[in-house]
Amino acid sequence: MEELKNQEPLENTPEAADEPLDKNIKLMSPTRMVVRRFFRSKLSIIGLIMVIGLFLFSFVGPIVYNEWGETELDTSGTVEYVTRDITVFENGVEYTIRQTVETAKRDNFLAGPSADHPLGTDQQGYDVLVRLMYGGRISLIFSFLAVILVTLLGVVLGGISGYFGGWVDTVIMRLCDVLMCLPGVPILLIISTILDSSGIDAQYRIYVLMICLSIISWPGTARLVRGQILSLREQEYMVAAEAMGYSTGRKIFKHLVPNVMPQLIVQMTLSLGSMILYEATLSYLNLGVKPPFAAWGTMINVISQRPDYISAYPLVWIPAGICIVIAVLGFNFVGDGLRDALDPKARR
Amino acid sequence: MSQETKKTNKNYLSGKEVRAIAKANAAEMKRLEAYKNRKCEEKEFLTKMRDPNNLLEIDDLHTFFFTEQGVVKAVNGVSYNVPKNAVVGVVGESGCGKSVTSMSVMRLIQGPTGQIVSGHIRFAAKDTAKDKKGKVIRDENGEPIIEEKVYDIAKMPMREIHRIRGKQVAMIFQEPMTSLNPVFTIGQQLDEVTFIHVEGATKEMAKEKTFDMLRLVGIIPENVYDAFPHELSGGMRQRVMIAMALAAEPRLIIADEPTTALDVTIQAQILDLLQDIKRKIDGSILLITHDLGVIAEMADYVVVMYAGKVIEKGTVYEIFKDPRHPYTIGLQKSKPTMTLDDSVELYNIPGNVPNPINMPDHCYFKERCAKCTAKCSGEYPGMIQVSPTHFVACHLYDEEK
Amino acid sequence: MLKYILKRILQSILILIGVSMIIYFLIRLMPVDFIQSKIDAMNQGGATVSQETVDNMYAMYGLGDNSFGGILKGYFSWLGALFQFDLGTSFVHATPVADVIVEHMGVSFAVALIATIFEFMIAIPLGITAATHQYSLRDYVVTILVMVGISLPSFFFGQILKDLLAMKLGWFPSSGLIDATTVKEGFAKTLDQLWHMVIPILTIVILSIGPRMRMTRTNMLEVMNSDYIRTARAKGLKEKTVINKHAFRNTMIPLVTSMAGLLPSLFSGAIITEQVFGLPGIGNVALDAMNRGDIPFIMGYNMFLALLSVLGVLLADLMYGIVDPRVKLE
Repeated sequence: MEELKNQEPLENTPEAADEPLDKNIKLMSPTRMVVRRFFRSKLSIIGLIMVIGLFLFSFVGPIVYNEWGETELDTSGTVEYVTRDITVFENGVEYTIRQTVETAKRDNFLAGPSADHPLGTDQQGYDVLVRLMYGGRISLIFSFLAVILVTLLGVVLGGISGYFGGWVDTVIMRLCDVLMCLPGVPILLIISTILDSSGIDAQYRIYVLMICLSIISWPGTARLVRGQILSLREQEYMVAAEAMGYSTGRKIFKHLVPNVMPQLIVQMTLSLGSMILYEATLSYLNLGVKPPFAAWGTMINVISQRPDYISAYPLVWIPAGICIVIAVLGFNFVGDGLRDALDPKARR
Repeated sequence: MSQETKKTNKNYLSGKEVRAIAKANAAEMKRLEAYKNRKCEEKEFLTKMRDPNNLLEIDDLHTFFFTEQGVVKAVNGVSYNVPKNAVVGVVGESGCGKSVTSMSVMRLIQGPTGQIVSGHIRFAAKDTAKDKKGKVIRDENGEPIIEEKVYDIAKMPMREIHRIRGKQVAMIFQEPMTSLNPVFTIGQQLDEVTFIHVEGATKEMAKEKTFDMLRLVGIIPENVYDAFPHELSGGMRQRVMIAMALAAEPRLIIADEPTTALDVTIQAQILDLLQDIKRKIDGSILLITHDLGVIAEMADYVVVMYAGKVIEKGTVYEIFKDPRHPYTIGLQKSKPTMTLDDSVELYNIPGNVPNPINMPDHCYFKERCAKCTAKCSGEYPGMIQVSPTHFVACHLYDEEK
Repeated sequence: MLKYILKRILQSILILIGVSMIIYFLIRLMPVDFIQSKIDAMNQGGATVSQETVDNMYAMYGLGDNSFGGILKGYFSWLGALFQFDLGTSFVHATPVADVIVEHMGVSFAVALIATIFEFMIAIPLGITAATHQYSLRDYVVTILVMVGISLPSFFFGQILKDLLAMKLGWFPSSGLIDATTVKEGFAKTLDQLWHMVIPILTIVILSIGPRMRMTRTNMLEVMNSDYIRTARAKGLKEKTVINKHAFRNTMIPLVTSMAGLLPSLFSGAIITEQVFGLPGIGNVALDAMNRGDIPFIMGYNMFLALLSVLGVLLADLMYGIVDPRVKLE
């Protein structure tokens, strides 16, 4: 503090000439303020590390760790020798024959961790680590696309609704009401059943589901945008903008967008987490990503069919769960940090 | 450091500076919060008045806000007194620290950012006498004995502060619209004051007191007792706030811009009410306002504040008839008066109140002052006594010492 | 007030009709032969879906006629049946859908009710201390716990709890609702059932505390910064009274309102949790129905959920008018 007080006055800039005393004052730039507030919270930093780590793991991981592909079975199956005694009665005489049978396990499934498979293999013989990476890809792509789509739909429809008002507003808002009353997971279950019957390629069905999910999820964003626009329309500076004769488009972009953006960014970050959860849940119910493709949810699904794996083979399902938690937690931490950083009312 | 800032925008703080500020603030806030929440004996904050005729003595008070941008010295060495049974008016532009001073007296400064850093707030309280174990001492009739004790409010820990609030010092706030709790009725909120401050108060007692107070502020009690705050107009709510302040019969009422948020006609009514109450109560009023007209009408003494400091204080007569500080003179010139001469333009003081972060060492008014001399670039002027009651902080009067 | 309620009910009916349209058309998107194959598979699996039931369903949904008029006709015939409270007959259970819903609702309701009570009892005090001690260690710990709770997928966390508490430690039964090895009657039976619900309830409570606590904290912070709290302090109230009386009442307004909104979720069943723990609740039954193509049940269940959420919104709004003296419903 001492340092600051004794600071030499800076030379007069034209602005400083109007307010002479202010030349001694240095403020934080708005960007720095947001950045500083964000990084002040240790949770935001942890969240950011989690998210970046996950991206590297999912997108760079398979390039570095390229021994196994997503759908590449480990067919190096071990050979097993089973010895059994066979008792045969012949002519009243009992013979015992010892027979040794050589069985080759074609696939090397449920293997423990080894140099070949750091996290072992799953019940099919796929490498768990590589499946985790590809599962991460699906989750991240799914959630990002879904959030972008939801935001796009929400901003456009909410914007139209708030800006034009009248019957347009009524129609869109009633549509919101209807969509908000649709039961989310059950509806996706129905859609998934429809996708089953339509015979769509397993690789693309998750994206169709994503589009459907976005279509029923936009009302939240739309309401946020509409609410903001309605309240901003009442603000003095909007009246001033009107008085200055700005055009409609200019008004929206110059004044409304920057005001809605902070809230929107926060909401987008937080919904990234919930979209990942959605995808994982669908995959867990065997309705999202279908085998042979990998998803975190599908990897956990194993235990609902084979409860004996829960304790016996924890490496098959626990890493996937941890990945989901890290992903969702990371996005939530970042979103929460952003919320605090962008909140103009924050007092500290 | 200066090189680093020049690289970017020189009006903005560099990352290094920001971190330095945050570090210094955190340490200071932690220390002061701990001081506020400490446990201590009563004698630690008992003190004596400099002048027994005073009710409140604010002595070299410093109240700072530790913000990310730096330390805002909202109140920077303020001293003034409130004599018993007097009305003291505090004037100044918005942001000059007049409200923060009064909030400091009530200890309502929002921590951890806002803190009383140093100084004394001596207050002559009338409190029930207590023995060493904290038990109330009673006379033969069982009535508690009332004695005068002087507290240093600035030193009181937060856990003791309820002794001051309400019973000794009450406050009327600027925003009547939001200052009443929306989920309780007017009656509940007024009764509560009696319940807090009168030992063994019954429902009937509280209600009777509430009715008296409401009548005193010119409201028919039956109409509002069961009403919720949102059912009343702003002026009515301010009357209720005044009734609430009066209910515990405090020795000092702080009215913090009580009329600013109201319509002009309502303002006049509320001021009349305050005038009326001034005569009826046995206590002092500290009136904070930026309206010189209100001060002229109500106050006995005037304190003029500028950028967190007192620049002139005296009796109302002295300040209005013989203002000394160029700022006080400017303030009076900028007051509209009824003249027939259209050519007389309303005077305005050039510039703004400086931002109170990193204040210079010289007089804060220097850049806006028409009578500025070479001396003004020197250190901050001290208080100069003009008359027994009149003080001014300006280098123009140095030789008169 | 009455006028307002009537208006809202009318609006809700319109919303419900919108919802029913969407659900109906989604069902109609399924090809008929697909449905037939599902029914065949069900019959092969040992179930007996009589041709009569199937014909009834075809008639009720007007399946098979994919012209615009046909779809419209189908929708109205279904809607007509709905207004007579006829949701059709479930293929899997061979009883009317409404009966199936009522039969399995009890378990779901018991789990949800107990979980909700615990959720509120834990979340509200936690939220309040976090807010009144903002930026303290307590605040951070609570915030982190909340975040972790929000981020846990129910199927994963449920399994972990099951593995730990039921399988490894053996404190609680791992799944189902009834202990098959002993015969219990009356109170003992109820107690046994509750015992089976402990882990599912624990799962739900931990996962749902987060949002509720966050809501309490945000509200409380907002209230604590308001002018009337300053007034309450200025009156001379002790900080405890300021928080417990003046701030608490205001914080409770949105919370009580949200409680009304929760009412529907009490009856709708937690699909995933019930699946993980094998509870015979309505969510689990619905999931089974989806997997087996029990069209009448899927339709009925979804309409039931939609009705509940419409009711929830309506109740929450009405509640607002009751709790907050400033709000007048008009």
